[in-house]
Amino acid sequence: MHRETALPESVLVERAQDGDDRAFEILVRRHQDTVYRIALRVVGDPGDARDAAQEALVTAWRKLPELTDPQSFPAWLHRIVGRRALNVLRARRPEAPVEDDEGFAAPGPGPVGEAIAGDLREALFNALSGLPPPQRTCWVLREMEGLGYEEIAAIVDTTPTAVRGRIHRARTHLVEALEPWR
Amino acid sequence: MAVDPSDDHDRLPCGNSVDALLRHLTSGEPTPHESACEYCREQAEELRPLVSAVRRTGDQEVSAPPGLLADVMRAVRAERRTGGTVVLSGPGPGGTEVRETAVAAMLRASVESVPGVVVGRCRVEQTPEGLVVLATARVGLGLPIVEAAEEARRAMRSLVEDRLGLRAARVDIDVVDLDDPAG
Repeated sequence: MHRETALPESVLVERAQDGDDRAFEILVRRHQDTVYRIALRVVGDPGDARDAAQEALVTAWRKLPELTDPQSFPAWLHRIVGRRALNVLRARRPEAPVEDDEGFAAPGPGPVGEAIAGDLREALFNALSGLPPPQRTCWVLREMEGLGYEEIAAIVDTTPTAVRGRIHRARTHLVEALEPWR
Repeated sequence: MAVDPSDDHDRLPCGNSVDALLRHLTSGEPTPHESACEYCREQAEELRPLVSAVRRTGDQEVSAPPGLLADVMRAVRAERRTGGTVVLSGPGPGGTEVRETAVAAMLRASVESVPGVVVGRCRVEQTPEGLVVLATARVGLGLPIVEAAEEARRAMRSLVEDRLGLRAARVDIDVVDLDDPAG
């Protein structure tokens, strides 16, 4: 076991591709914090984030044989969890428009008022929950996880230009929502 | 850097993009231009609460909940990919079957005795001519590649023939990389 944890990641990925579940376990151990963090930041709720993270990791195991470049495993895994988390958001808000180009939905009940009493971080999450799912996902993946436009475009299934637009609109909304802190 | 026209609405009069400015501010590393430019500074003032909210969120360590790993692995093992089996021929009627993945694991382990060679992918297939092994390997920097691969092949062949009692029809080892300790 000890020897295996010292193996290069691409070797572990190749072994897991061939059905070696012990190799996969080491990969999960290594990446679970990041996978969970991405899910949590996108969906906001710890319970939903745990479910999304678990589903993403099991999906990764199933799809691993399709991965052509073992080196790209982390980015590939982030895409899976990003997509999964976006779907959770969409399922939770059936009333939200799937296409958000009409602008964002009205913010949740009194995020600003709540936020003044609370902490700035909480205010950010309240403001994020007022965004349509794709906007929120784009913004979180870009500004909190540092993903590139192309990568995000693949996750939310759109073009890099549309991703830029969503991030721009999300930021405008967030700046307004956090206005009381200036 | 090419200027994407679709970015225009996101650009300050000085040409800097607000997205870039926000990223530099949250990482605490504004460029010399951003520190001096009046447009950037004005925008930075507007972004201040958002920057500190993002920074505070970034400072927060997030760990996966306890039990996530165990739940994932339980699900993974429950739906273990259905692979084929390898039939070992012993004397007399009846046979012993071993999962292909188990045989692959034995083959990888057999190479652990070869210094500087690490096996990644390893698949086996039973054919009328014998067992076919297809593997990838990394060879340590500075080791003679052909000799190292040959030694790994010998180790695998010996496992197939001596321990499993099968004919080794082919053992292909594809050296995909030189083993970089930084991996």
